[in-house]
Amino acid sequence: MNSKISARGLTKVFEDTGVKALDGVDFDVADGEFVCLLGPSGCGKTTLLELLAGLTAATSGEAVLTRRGRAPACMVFQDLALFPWLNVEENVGAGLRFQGVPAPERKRRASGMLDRFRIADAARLYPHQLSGGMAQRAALARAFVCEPEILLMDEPLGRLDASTRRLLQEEFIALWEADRKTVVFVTHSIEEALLLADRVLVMTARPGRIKASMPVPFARPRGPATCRAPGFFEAEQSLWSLLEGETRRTLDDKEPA
Amino acid sequence: MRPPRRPSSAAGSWPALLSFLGVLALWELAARSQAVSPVFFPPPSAILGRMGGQGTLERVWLPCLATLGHALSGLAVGGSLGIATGVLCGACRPADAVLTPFINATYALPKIAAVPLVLALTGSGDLLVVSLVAAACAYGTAVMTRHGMDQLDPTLTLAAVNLGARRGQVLRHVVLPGLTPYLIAGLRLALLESFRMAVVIEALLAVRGLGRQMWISGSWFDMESYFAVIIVLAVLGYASVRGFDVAAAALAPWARRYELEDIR
Ligand SMILES: Nc1ncnc2c1ncn2[C@@H]1O[C@H](COP(=O)(O)OP(=O)(O)OP(=O)(O)O)[C@@H](O)[C@H]1O
Ligand SMILES: [Mg+2]
Repeated sequence: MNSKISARGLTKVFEDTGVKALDGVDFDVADGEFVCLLGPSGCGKTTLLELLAGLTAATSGEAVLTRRGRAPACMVFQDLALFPWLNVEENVGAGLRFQGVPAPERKRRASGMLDRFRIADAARLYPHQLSGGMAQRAALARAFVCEPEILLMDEPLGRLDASTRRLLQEEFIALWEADRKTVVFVTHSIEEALLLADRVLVMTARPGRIKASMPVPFARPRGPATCRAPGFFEAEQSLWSLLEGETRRTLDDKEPA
Repeated sequence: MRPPRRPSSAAGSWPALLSFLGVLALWELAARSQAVSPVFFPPPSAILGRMGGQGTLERVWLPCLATLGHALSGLAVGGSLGIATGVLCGACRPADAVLTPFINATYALPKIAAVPLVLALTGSGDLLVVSLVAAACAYGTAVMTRHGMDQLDPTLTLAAVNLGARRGQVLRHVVLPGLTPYLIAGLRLALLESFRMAVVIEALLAVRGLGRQMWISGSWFDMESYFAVIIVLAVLGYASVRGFDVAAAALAPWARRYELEDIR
């Protein structure tokens, strides 16, 4: 297999609190594969993405990312992390600016991406002036404009209302199917995972490990009809049965003192 | 679409201006009717007359320039020193461990206490005033900046690094703008402090400036000149803070403003 991401025994213990967030995570992601990560709250999904992005160091184990060019593995943060002092257009251009892309090209690419995510109207607004959905789109645009080979996305559609979320999911599939980047996508929605992913990884309760890996059989291009495809309900049920026990364990678990 | 602008607070200064004029009118009346001693409280018209009259250049305007120079150059030196110290303490643990206790220990001391020591180093003159103003300004900005360093959002740093920012770019594009509200607050306080300090030292050590002029006029019972100096000082303080606020709003247009009135 031509693997783009390969995680081997990834373990993370936070030294200040002694919390073990991840315990020996193993998985591979193939080049151009879209993987969704499902797991109960607090099982270490965000931590895992930060390890893959090289933003924190693993306590043990390693993650190897194969990249052709210099383009980084771009992350869309769970809390978006838009820069409050930059307007939407400047936020979207921030990555290009850091990488030394000259201003005219930066502007052209950023505004193209604003059009693609349909927030061109908000180009001059600051983050605190945006609605939740607009902020989310801005964060997506900021990652996409860097044209990374790998996208790490932490519940990027999590704060949208149901109907906006559905529309963005469809747009997102279309965007992805156009250039097939390698994606690791964290979500809490089983339906979203089945709609987007080539494969779903289910994590255990904390400390997180990979409990199961389930390929998603539905044909592409996918869309609203996919949810009515034969086997969709069964796939949903089998993912839920994997997730249910772990979620119960999380809820019953007493927080470590 | 431009970001909506708050209405300038200049509109809000009309009531202040009117009540100020009201106080002047009452004072004028009181002084003319001899209700208060016109020797100690000359009527505002007489003060105004003095500000335009003979010898005002030497008695008011040149000292005004001197004080402005003392205050602003002290602010520039002290402010930069304070900001640099705050950033250093926030970014480097050993520096924090050494400098912060020292700052806390000496912050409470009145800066006047240092006059004899600084006097020995600089001699009595402009440099003395500027040094003491700088010292007074450095504390507030250092403490504010240090506090701001703790309030920076670490996720924003991670985001910048993930987008390809190098160390210097993180400093320039994440740390600096994140600190800006704290720098503005610290410098604003330091600005007012700088005038107070300059005037006190000028009066105390008879260095040229409004402070010395105020002292001289007061002790000669030249109350018109005395009040002229006070008015110039008040205007100077008010105008510089207004100017500062306008500049700050232009430099940091993203800064949100919360006002208690907005909370219902
Ligand atoms: N910086 C940190 N310091 C200490 N503990 C941390 C830190 N970040 C995360 N943790 C702990 O690690 C565990 C996993 O956190 P993480 O944010 O990765 O969970 P998650 O799966 O993303 O949860 P959610 O679905 O709610 O976003 C939690 O118990 C959390 O308290
Ligand atoms: Mg998370």
